[in-house]
Amino acid sequence: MKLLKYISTRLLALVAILAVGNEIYKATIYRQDLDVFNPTLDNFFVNEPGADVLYFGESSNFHLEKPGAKKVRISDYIDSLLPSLQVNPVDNAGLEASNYLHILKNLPNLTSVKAIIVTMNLRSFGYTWILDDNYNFRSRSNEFAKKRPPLLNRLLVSLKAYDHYTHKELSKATGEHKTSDPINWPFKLSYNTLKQWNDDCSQRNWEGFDSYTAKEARNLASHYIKNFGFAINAETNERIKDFDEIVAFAKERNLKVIFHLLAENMQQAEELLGEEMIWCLNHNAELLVNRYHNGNDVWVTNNLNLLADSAFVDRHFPIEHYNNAGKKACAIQVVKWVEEALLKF
Amino acid sequence: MQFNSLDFFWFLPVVVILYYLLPGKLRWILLLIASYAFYMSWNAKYALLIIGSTLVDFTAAQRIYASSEKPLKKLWLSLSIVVNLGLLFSFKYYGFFRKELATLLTEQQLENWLPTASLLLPVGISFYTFQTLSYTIDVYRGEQKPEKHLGIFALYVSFFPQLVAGPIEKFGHLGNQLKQTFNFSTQNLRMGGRLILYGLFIKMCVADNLSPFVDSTFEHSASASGTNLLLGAIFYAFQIYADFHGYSLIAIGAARLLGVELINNFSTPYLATSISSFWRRWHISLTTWFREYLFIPLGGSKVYMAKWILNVLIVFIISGLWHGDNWTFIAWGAIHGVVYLIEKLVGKANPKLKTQNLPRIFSILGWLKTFGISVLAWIYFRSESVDEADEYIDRMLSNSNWQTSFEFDVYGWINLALLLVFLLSDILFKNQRIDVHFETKPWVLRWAAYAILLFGIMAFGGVTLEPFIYFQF
Repeated sequence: MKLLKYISTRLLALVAILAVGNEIYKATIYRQDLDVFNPTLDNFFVNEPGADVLYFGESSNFHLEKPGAKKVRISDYIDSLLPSLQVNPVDNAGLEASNYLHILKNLPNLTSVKAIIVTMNLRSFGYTWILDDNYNFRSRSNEFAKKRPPLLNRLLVSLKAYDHYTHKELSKATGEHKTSDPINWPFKLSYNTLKQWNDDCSQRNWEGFDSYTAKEARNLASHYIKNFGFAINAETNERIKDFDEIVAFAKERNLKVIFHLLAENMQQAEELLGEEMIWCLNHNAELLVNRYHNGNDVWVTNNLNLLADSAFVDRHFPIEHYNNAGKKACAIQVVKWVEEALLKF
Repeated sequence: MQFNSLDFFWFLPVVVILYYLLPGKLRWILLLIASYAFYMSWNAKYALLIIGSTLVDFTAAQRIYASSEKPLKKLWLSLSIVVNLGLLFSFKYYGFFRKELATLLTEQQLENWLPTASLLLPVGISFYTFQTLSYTIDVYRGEQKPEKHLGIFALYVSFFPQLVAGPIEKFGHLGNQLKQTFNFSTQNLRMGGRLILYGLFIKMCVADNLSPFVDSTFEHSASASGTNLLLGAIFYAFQIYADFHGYSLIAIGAARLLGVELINNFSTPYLATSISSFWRRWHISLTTWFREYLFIPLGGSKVYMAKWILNVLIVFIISGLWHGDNWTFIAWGAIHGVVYLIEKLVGKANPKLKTQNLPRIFSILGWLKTFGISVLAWIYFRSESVDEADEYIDRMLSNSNWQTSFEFDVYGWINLALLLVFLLSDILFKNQRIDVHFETKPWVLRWAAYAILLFGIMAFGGVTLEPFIYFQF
């Protein structure tokens, strides 16, 4: 009994220290830590209050049209096209669905948010992305965003209590996916994995392009293959699990979901890699639309084929950075489903 | 499984609770299983090395004790030494040895005689091989009776709190405690808890927060400013101290929770006013080992001066080499050895310097010299090569660029404040450990300190999670 008393009083004192410590932490260094470990969560805390719709996106939402240009977001266009709704962005470069999910889980019980728009970036379904060098950073961000006392999250971050791998381990795992995940083409080809496809490309003659030298064309084609040269396996793909969880969370919280499937430079992809790359992109997009779009509480805006080559800002890497006209065009498509979700009745 | 990991935060309390729930006779089994599980969390295969080392030394000690003839005793002792040092050489020094021989042999000869072998260094091998060696040597010397219980001996070799980075314990101290049955005591809980808390604080809040600046400075030393290089070297001196001292305190605290007392490994080394004093305060268990098992067998101080000088240099150079297969460690040991000799020779020539009545300024100058030399030596210890260290020092002393990349932002100031807390507490605890120091303090003060330490660990722990530096040795 004496021992029990001894231990329980100390445990109580410990709990009190932790509770007070958590409050001190929140009042002092927490916001600075957010800037370091998960600036997007900070962004969420600022932009969630008063919003009707939250737009979760990565750099496609805000990338500048040209250096020095005014920052105009896709979410800004959506906001201006929906005057009766307040649309606020929650964005940062290099984010993916797992990051959105962990941030979203911090949505307060009392919130004005009725719908969320979440970008669906095709490359984020590929293992070149999933297991890239930002894996640990994203994983750490998620740990820090978990809905727990912030002081505990901070401790777990310093104990590295999240999935983390060495560069060597990540490269090895990516390599395994590249060599063993089948694409299963609907047409006959001598290659059926990302690695085989990329190897085949490196042997091709890349002369004859108007806009690129042979070296540039080969590099760009290789980037396309590494980033989009896969067929999503819905049973095992980790990103699918994240989107499934977003849908489940939204359902639980009675939120409407609009997935914004991002536009890719299909013209460039076709010019470099022909129907194979177009098949991969369309096949994966269709899979996602079929899986998530139900027209009831989840909508998918399929913007994959929306934009012409001229709307893409980066010329030497396949990335979803659009000029302002492109951003606006994307926004117009997204707005259609937001209206259907929130303003139809 | 690092001490500063979530796994260990579960592992230790579970082991401690089960330990006290089990009857005394069965506890060694629990601790042995826990110790092997702890070790195998790094690499399961390397448990075979500990098993091998345990069986060889257990048998060798029995045979040494049972043999009446000295040559036979010597033979068994030699077997133990050859096996232990052979393992250490194969895993730790073979690559180094091969690389150095490459300057003398052709590539073909080298490949024929010494094939390439890329072995991963088993964590803690230098520690447990030295620990088991001390046992067989003690049995050989008649200072220790051989342990009859293989399980207890295996536990002595693998006891998880001190398995991977010490303190290196003699069987007479640790082994005998492992045979006892300790009742749960609140004092052990209190003392052990304090040590773990403070150990984690200095590891996570001081060492791990200094690490990014130190790593970056050493990595870019060729382009760093003189101020950066100086700060990098000083911070590394504090980083390695906080890191290893922190580890040792957690080890001692974890053992204390089980009722076992481990020896002290540090005693405010940076307050030393001479290199010989520094070595009585830094990595005490290793220093003791080298004194007992190398310096004294070589003849110690009771030999001609030339032999004594040689003995001192041998001990310091081997203690450097013990840390790793690089000339940088040898240079580190040699610097300490040479300064140690100079101090002793000057002391012998000027006996007045030894008296305690010297003006205080001498102590301050002595402290400055000792700290300066140790920082200088740490540059070799931390660098990838002796050339790199030479350039680092050259640049540090000649580059008068006062700019520093150390950021004086919120985090920079917090890190400096944490370092200051550590250094001040080290001075405050002088010659005492935190567990003992706090025992006499009023509870309000104690709990205020616990709260600060706990908050520090949780809010300011370094995020790069550096493994304990001494785990690599």
